[in-house]
Amino acid sequence: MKDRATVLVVEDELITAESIAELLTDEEYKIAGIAKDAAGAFRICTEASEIPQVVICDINIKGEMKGTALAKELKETYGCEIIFITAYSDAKTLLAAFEADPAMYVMKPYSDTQLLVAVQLAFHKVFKKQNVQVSNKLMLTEREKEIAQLVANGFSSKQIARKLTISIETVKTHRRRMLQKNNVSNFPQLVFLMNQDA
Amino acid sequence: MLKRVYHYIAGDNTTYRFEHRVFNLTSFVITLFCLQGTLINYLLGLHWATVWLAIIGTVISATLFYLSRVRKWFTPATIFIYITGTILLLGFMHFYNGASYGTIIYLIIMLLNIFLLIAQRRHQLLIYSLLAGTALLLIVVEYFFPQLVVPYASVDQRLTDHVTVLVYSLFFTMLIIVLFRRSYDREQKMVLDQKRELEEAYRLTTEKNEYIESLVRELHHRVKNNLQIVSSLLSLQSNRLEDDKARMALEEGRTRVDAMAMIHQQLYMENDLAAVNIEDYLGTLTLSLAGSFGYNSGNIRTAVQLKNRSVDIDMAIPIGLIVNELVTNSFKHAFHGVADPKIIISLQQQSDDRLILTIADNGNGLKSSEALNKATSFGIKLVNMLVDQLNGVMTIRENPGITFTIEIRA
Repeated sequence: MKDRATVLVVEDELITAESIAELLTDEEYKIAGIAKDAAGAFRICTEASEIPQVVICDINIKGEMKGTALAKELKETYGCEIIFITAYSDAKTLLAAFEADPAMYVMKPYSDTQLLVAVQLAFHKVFKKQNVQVSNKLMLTEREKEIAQLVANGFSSKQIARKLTISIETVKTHRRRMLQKNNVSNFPQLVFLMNQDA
Repeated sequence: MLKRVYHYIAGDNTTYRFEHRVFNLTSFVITLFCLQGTLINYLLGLHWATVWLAIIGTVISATLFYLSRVRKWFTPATIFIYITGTILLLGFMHFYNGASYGTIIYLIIMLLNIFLLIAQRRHQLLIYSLLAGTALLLIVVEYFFPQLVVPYASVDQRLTDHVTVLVYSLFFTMLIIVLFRRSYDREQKMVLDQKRELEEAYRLTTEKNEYIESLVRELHHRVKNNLQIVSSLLSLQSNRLEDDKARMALEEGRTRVDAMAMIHQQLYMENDLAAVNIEDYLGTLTLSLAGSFGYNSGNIRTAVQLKNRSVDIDMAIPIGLIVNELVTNSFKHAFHGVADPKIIISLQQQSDDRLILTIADNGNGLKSSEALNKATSFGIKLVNMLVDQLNGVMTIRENPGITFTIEIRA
């Protein structure tokens, strides 16, 4: 599959970082890497074959450069969309965070749905900036539409499978077929186009 | 030296107020003045009345000095007795002392100034009227009864008297004003110092408060972060498990941790560090539970009717965990083949110290309660434990869905 939606995770709690990466990989995102500080984030961005379009960034990371400053820099240099993920919710932190103009601010402890919705929104901004267009109308069956809508609402394949009482594999097959059929490279883009269609 | 003499006569500033001290000083100085007058008048061979009046003045003044300085008797009455004595003695003295050619008016003006300074504010106008009235009255009496006046024997005598009394009264007036000014300055300085001290104390307290606040914030941040890590750990591990039952168990564990974590998330948002808005919390919790089973907000509803929606964390956590268990159970077991699955959670105030928590679904009833008893025996054990912790009583009904009613004594 070409051009997968790429996400960079910046989080110094590696257990949390790993579980974010795993959740997103499970949802067919490509993880550019996991960085535990600003230096690591820059290294991944310069070395990566595909520059991450979305960065999930903890605010209180180790090292000189904090998450807010890092996010601003990544946004300016690479045009990444930012999702802050933090346990802080005081006015001071929020104000500093909003200077980086993030796509989303997710409070820890987050639920999988909250995170997936945030990522969807961030990609929506990415595609809007790129002005992605599709020549012909999306071709989706009713079942496919239902699944795509649930994905757009932040449901994971696992949750969709449970709701529709089908297996996870079936959900994944549906998702893959939707992309192939419409010649769209990744699912966030399909959701974006679907919203444009509507 | 001078200071010690002053303190000896007027008294120290801890026992005697400023006005009291000025009165002591004045009565002492006037006593001396009268004594000196007695001697000089006698030696100069002035009219016998002047000698006697000076003696009476000495006695009255000395007595009041004794009462005020030693017995610490200083009230408006002290001042008015003194004023009355002054008016009578000086009034008679005026005519034996050359009347308007003489010096008594100077003394009346000096005493007026001093009494105005030390008397209570509400007595000031009265004191002014008494002394100024006396001075004017003396002139009037002199006009109508010129025969009452005993003139000075010579010009020299008159001028000597004028010089003595002028120097005396002006010096004493100045002294009192200087003392008053000094006491005023000292009080001003004291007020300023106290203000500065208070400001400093206020600054320190504010700083300390901010520090404590930042510590609490940091603590909450750590709690949330750690709960996030626990949740992430369970998620990572469950992703790697082959065995469905084991995976399910870990995921259940994760939702329990998440239910507690959500309380901490709400706690700090509320800015009240020990209570949580139970309506918001139950809303978020149930929506998140619905999401994790692939349902949405249309399938679950919460209704909270409480006098005070702020619920202490000690109560909110068990309520949250009970709702978590029972809602999870409904989503898992109750809705096979149900067209429009619905769960309603309500928390109502029954009386001042009684809350009713209800979790009701429109599912397959009996089957789901059996599932609760068998498959997730830990779930029902947990709910019973938490109901017990809340001093509550739980009843289960079927109609045809299942309804859990928990009566909580707050």
